[in-house]
Amino acid sequence: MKRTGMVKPPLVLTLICLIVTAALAIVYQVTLTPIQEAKTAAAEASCRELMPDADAFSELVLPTETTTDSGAQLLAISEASAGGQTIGWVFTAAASGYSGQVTVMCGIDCDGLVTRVKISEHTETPGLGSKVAEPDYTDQFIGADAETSAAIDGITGATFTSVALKEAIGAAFLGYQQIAEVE
Amino acid sequence: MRAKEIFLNGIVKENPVLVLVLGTCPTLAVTTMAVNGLGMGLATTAVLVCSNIVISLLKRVIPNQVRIPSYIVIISGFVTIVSLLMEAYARELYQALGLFLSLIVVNCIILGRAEMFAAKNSVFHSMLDGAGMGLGFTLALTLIGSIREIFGSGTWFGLQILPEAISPVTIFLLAPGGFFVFGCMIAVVNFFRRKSDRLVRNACMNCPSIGACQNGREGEF
Repeated sequence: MKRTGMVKPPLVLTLICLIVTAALAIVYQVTLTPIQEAKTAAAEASCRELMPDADAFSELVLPTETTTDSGAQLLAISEASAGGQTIGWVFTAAASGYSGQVTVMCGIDCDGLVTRVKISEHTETPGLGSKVAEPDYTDQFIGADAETSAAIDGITGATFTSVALKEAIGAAFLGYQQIAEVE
Repeated sequence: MRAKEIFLNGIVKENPVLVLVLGTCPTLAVTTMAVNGLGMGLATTAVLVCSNIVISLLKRVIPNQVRIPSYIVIISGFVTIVSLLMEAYARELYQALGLFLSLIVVNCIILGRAEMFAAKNSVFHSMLDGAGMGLGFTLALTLIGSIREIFGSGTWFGLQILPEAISPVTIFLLAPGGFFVFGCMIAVVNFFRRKSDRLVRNACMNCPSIGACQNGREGEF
């Protein structure tokens, strides 16, 4: 009686764990390709939003300098091309906002002008900081260069988020300058 | 006859969120939008039905000493499967629910139903219980999400409901607004429950879990 109490419970638990693990392995294998496809599709779709004229995107290696003086970080660069010709880059950069990181995607064309700006991820206060993510505000950056984009007014009540957006755009221009130097 | 009762039990009489007050963490966290509440509710329902079925099937196999770890392994297995499927086929919802999807593992509704119902009842009844409880959870979350979205963003399931000229009450989207709506809904449910049920003096007799509770009869005098 005592013996069965020592052997059976761990044995059953181990068996259950094994079966669950096997089931998970199968589901993981089955969903692996759809998950990766969905991921790249989502990344492509957001790049396309920023560079509507481009037909292909390719990931670039990050330049040596990725952090600006204000602490914003450049996270990824993807080169946008149309008909085999490079027409610009989409930079993903993050800066600290009011509560956590504000991740910004910023398209910059070959002339060094912003094509479009989008906040892809943030955890700012809904209704205050989140206003910065709305097109009403971000559309002001279209056509701006490094200097004019830094001079755009922030939103009242969302100073931290506005600053974070501009810092992230600064990081995008930092990346742009390094790419432009090479070419 | 009993089947219908079991199914409706979770939706109305023993609604997990509004009567049993279980699963409060996801309830408050994801209900800033009606669609998130609905998605969270359906994901939980799927896990609940599957885990109730399996646990009910294994109720004679699982030794008493290791029942809780066994339940948790089974539940977390289903949660991981649901979250993998969601990541593959419903990516936007997956991102909106974020961390709370994996936290279904420790949602006390699921473990509670495993322990209170599935471990003692037949497979078919456990399945019905899971579906009823899950739908009750979904209903409550969608309702709370709807109220918070309509007042907090002026939209419902993404559609503009309030005219844009009316500026929405942002606090409904924040934590205090979540508690406020949650409290109001419990108050409304309690009002109707008291009207329909004859109130018994004994506290245990009013407890919706009395049927499953081991000490259920203790408070009787």
